[in-house]
Amino acid sequence: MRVLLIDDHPQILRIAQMALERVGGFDVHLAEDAAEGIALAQRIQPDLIVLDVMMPGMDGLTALAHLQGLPATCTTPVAFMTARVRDEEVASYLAAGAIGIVRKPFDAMRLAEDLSALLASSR
Amino acid sequence: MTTTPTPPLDSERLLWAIARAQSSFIQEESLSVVMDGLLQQLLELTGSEYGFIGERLIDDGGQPYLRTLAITNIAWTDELNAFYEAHAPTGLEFRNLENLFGRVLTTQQPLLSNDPAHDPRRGGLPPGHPALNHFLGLPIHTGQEMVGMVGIANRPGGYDQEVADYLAPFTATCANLVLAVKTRREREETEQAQRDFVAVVSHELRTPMTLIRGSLDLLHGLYADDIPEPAQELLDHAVDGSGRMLRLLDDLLQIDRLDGDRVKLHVEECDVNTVLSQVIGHHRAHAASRDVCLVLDVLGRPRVQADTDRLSQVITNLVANAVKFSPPSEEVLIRSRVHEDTVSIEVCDRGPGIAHEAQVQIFEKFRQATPPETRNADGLGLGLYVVKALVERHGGSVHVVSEPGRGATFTVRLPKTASEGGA
Repeated sequence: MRVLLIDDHPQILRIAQMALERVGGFDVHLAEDAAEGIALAQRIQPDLIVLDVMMPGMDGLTALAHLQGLPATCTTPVAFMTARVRDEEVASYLAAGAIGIVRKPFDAMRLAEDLSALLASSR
Repeated sequence: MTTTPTPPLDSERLLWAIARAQSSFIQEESLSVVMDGLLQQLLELTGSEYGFIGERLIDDGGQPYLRTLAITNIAWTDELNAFYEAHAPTGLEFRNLENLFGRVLTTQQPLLSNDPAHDPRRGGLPPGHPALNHFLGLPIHTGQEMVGMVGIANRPGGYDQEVADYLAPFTATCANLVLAVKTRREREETEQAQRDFVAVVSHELRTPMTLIRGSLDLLHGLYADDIPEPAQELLDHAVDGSGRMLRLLDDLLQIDRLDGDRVKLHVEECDVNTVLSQVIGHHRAHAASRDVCLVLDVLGRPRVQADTDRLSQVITNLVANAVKFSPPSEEVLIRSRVHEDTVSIEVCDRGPGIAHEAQVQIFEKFRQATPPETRNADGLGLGLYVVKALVERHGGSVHVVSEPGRGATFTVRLPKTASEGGA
């Protein structure tokens, strides 16, 4: 499975990458900001995009709206990975069209499994 | 002009009105209810047609202005009426001081006008405003400071010094209430600031915690075999500590929601034993590392209407506590039972127990059973507060039975799902 992770925090990207590659055997691509991530998504056509919410420049919800407006990515499933998990915040992510939420801190050994489950339940 | 006779000034009724306002304030009725009641009494006692009670506040430019605590609805258009309905409960603000009540705010002196139409101090009324035949404005003082005022209008026969004197105990009461309101408001603002702080802190701590947790998970899960024995033990301690820290963050966030009354329960039919098994599964390794054995004892199929995540958090906090206080080589017993109307979940440890006088306190925020020598553990004392609050949100209850030195049993009772068949 090809996953694109977009998060402004390089260390978090790195840990999530290790978790997904070594535990899940995923093909993992990284972007440190939303604009870079959107460009990369159009090129590599991932099976799943995992987006941070709070990012400098373009935030996650805006990035999701952009992705939904592009022919190459409008059907790509997007999950949010965030520490902002109040009920009303989670509701806003789902309302925007996200398939689900991974809350930070995440369980690194289960991240691949959790994302697979999110993807499966969204189909 | 009307020929309504001037109503008498009844001192007994005045005192009664004051007493009633004070007692309703003490009973923590909402401020607008207390003030509306007080204004109503004021109008009746003086035979006035309309009026207001307001705070005197100072704007950024140093100008006084009025914010009402209660005001008669004299709206003369639908638009004004809608405005009144929307804003009166939180207070209407008046900043134009070129009028009779504005004069009271600036001079801080009583003002009596029985011919406002020809009074040079009046500023004119907006078109459509009900007639203003008589006006009495009285400042509300606490000590030297003018904190508010009352304004009343259209007492048949007009106002005089006797009315002003008659109302002295009334304005004194208003002064105390305005002061108490300010104190209450400041307290609420402080509490809100605390909640905001807790929310920000618990959120900001999650990013570094993500790095710590993620790294430890991978070290532990992928590379444990490559790590020499002494380092392995250190890794276990780090995993243990980070797990506890994460629970604290969850509790802090939960308290922010509970105190802000923003907890939304996603209630569904919930199999208690499944939740118990999951929670125990998560804690087994941690308990084993402390040489504590978790024992699950279930009978029947207890089902409740609950938010599974919250119920899981309740059990997690109780089990984590029991493990924390359990001496080595002892067991922690987790037991579910089905009763006539309820389902009970018990978590029993053989730890040091909790003194009788502490058994109520431990469910309060930031409380642990003290003295610390009897319960040697860290923590902010949030876990049981969260347990109690969440259980009560589910219509249930939690209590503890404990003898010092002989362990503790926490029992959660939840209403049973109506269709439950029993054990």
